[in-house]
Amino acid sequence: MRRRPTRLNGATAEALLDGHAPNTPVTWLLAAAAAPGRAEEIAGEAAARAAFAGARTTKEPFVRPPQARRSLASRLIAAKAVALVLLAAGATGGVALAATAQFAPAPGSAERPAPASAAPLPLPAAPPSTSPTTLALPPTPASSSASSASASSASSSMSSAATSSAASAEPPAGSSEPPASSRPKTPSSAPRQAVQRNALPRVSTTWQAPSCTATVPCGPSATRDSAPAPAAVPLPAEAAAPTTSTTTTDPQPTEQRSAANPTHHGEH
Amino acid sequence: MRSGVDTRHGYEADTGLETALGAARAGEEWGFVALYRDLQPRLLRYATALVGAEAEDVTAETWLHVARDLHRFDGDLDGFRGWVSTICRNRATDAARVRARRPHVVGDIGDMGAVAEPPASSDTADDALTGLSSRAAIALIASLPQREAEAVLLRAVVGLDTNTTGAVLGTSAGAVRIAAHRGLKRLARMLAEHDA
Repeated sequence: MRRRPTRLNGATAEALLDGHAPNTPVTWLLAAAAAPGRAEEIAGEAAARAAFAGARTTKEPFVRPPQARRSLASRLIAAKAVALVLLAAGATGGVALAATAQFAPAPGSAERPAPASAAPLPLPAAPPSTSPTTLALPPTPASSSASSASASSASSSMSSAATSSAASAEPPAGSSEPPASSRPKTPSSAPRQAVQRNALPRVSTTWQAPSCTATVPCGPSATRDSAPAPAAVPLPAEAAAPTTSTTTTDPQPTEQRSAANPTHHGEH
Repeated sequence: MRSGVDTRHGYEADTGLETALGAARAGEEWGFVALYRDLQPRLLRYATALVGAEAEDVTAETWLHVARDLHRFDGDLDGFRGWVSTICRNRATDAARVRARRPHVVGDIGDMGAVAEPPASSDTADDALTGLSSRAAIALIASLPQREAEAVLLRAVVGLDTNTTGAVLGTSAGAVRIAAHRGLKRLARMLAEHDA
C-alpha cells in the first residue's frame, strides 16, 4: 500500500486528535487505536458490577452517621442536663450546708428545724406587748441595756451569716405571700426594712423569754407554729441579726452575702 | 472534548452517557455498566501502553475505586473520564513502582501483533493502519516517548480534551498540546519510514 507523506501542523494535529482529520496514515492509526471495544476488553464487567453493588450496600452505614450523630447529640444534651441538675443541687445543698455550718447548734441545743428565712420576724402589725420578738439570747444579761448591747454586738457579728442564710433561702419572685406569723424576711425589700428599722427598738428593749424559740416568736400569733421548732442557742443571734443589720447598715450584709455565695459554690 | 465519544466508532452519544453517569451516581447499576462499557476498552488500551500485560489488573483496581467512590463524585462526563483516567494512571504508576518495572515500551511492533488479534499480514504497521488490530496501533503509539504517548492516547483514544489531559498528566494544556503534536509527527515519520 502506497501512502502519502504526512505534513502535520498544529491545526492538522488537533484535527487528528479530535477525529476530524483527513484520510492520512496517522488518521488510520488513531482510528485503529480507538476502535470499538472487544468482548475480551470488557471481561471484567461482572467483577466491576459486583464491586459497584457491594459498594452500594456498604454505603448504607454512611447514611446512618447523621442518626448516630443525632443520638450522640441527644446523649450530650442529656448529660448536660444531668450535670446542670447536679450542679444546681450541689449549689443549693452547699448553701444549705454552709448555713448549717455557720449556725451550728451549740451543745445542748436542739437541731435547727428550718433555715433562717423561715424564722418569723416581728411584724409591724403585731403589738410589742402581745407579740414580742423571741430572741433566745444568752441567758446572762446583766441588765437590759447590757443585754441589748451584747445582743447587738452578737447580732452584728452574726448578721452577715444570717443575711447570707436568709439570702440563700430567699423565696422565688412571685411566690405567694406567707402568713403573717411566718413571713420570711427578704433583705431586698426596702419597705419591710423600713418597718423593721422602726421595730428594732422594740426588739432590743423588749426582753425575750428564754423559753421562746427563735424560729417561732412568742406571742399569740406564733404559738401555733412554736411546737415543731425547738429553741437553739445560736438562733437568737440569727434572729436578731436581721433586726440589727437592718438598723445598722444594709450594704455590709449585701457585700458579705455576695462574697459568701461564691464560697458556698466553690466548696461544692 | 469531541462531541459524542467518538462518532466514527459508533459509541453512544455523550448525552446518553451523561444520563448514565447521573444514574450511576444515584446507585443505578445500569448506569455504571454503561459507563464501564464505554470507558473500559479505552482505559485498558491506555493502561496497556503504560504497564503492558498488567493493564487488566490496573483497570480492575481502577473500577473498584470508581465503584467505591462514585457516589462522592461531582462533575460531568468529561470530569468523570478525567477522574477515571487519573485513577488508572495512579494505579499503573503504583504497579510499575512496586514491580520495579518501567512503563511498558514496546521495542518491536511485531511483538504486540502476537498478543493482539491475529494480524492479517506479517506487517504489524499495516495491520494497524488497516484497522485490523487495535492492539498493534496501541503498541505503535506506546513506542513513543512516554509523555508523548500518554498525550496521544488520552487525547485520541480515551477521548479527553486538552485541559483534562493536562490535569491527568499534571501539566498544562500547552504542554499537552506540544507533546501530542510531537507524538503525532513522530508517528507520521515512523509510518513513512515503514512505508519507505
